[in-house]
Amino acid sequence: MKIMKLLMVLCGALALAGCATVEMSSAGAMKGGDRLLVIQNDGYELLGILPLWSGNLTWNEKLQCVDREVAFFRNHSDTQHLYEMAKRIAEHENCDLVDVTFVDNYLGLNPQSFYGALVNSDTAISAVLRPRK
Amino acid sequence: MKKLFAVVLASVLCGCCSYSELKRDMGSVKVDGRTPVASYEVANVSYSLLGLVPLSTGLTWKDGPYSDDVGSMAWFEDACSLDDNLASVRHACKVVRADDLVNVTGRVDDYWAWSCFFVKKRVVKTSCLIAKPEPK
Repeated sequence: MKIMKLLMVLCGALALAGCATVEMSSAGAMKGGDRLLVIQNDGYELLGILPLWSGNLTWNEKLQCVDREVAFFRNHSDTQHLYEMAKRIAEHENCDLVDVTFVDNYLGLNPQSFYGALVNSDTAISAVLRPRK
Repeated sequence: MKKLFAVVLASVLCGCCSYSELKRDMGSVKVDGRTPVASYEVANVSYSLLGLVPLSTGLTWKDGPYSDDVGSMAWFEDACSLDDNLASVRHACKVVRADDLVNVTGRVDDYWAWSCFFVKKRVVKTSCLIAKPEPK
């Protein structure tokens, strides 16, 4: 039973950690050294009013990489936030952004929602990183 | 009850597959100054235990001229990443004999609805237009 509880806690922690995703294809996957970058962030609000938690992406100046955190009682799931992060990554990789597309799925109060009163806002950005000449 | 749960979980994991669709474009409308010869979309699904141990995955399109020749699924592997999807895109490029990609978009979705069963579902989607390089 203790193992079950521990697994549940671990699972909850992983679920929270999974709010924000940053994925980049490897350098050889596309022609000309292009790389596909996808950043996605989820936020949850109670009844669409009270922010409960969301992923939070910050740029780590020291390690020059993106830190993925969880922010409680805030909703960082907005496209502007993701765009800023994509620009930071592009600057760091000495690349330009091409084919930038945004996804903003604010699901609102949804009777089919698995979580009932929890409202999920899901934002994502997709872009191609093209090395500067 | 445990057996029923095992059967339901196994059937969900077996349903893990990739969707791949290549449509040839015979039009002459240019996109970003290039003439597309095909549109391609690939979506792959995988399940893993706690997001750590791969359970099942859809496969990458590597062989055959038809995009629905993508094969079935594999157990205890994870072929659900942007790199794997881009490998399918490269095969699509070979099939249509063009390799200029236009409007490449990707999407990565992690679904934790199954987390009460310690299972994470991941869906990675990639779409693009494939164009022939413009003559200089």
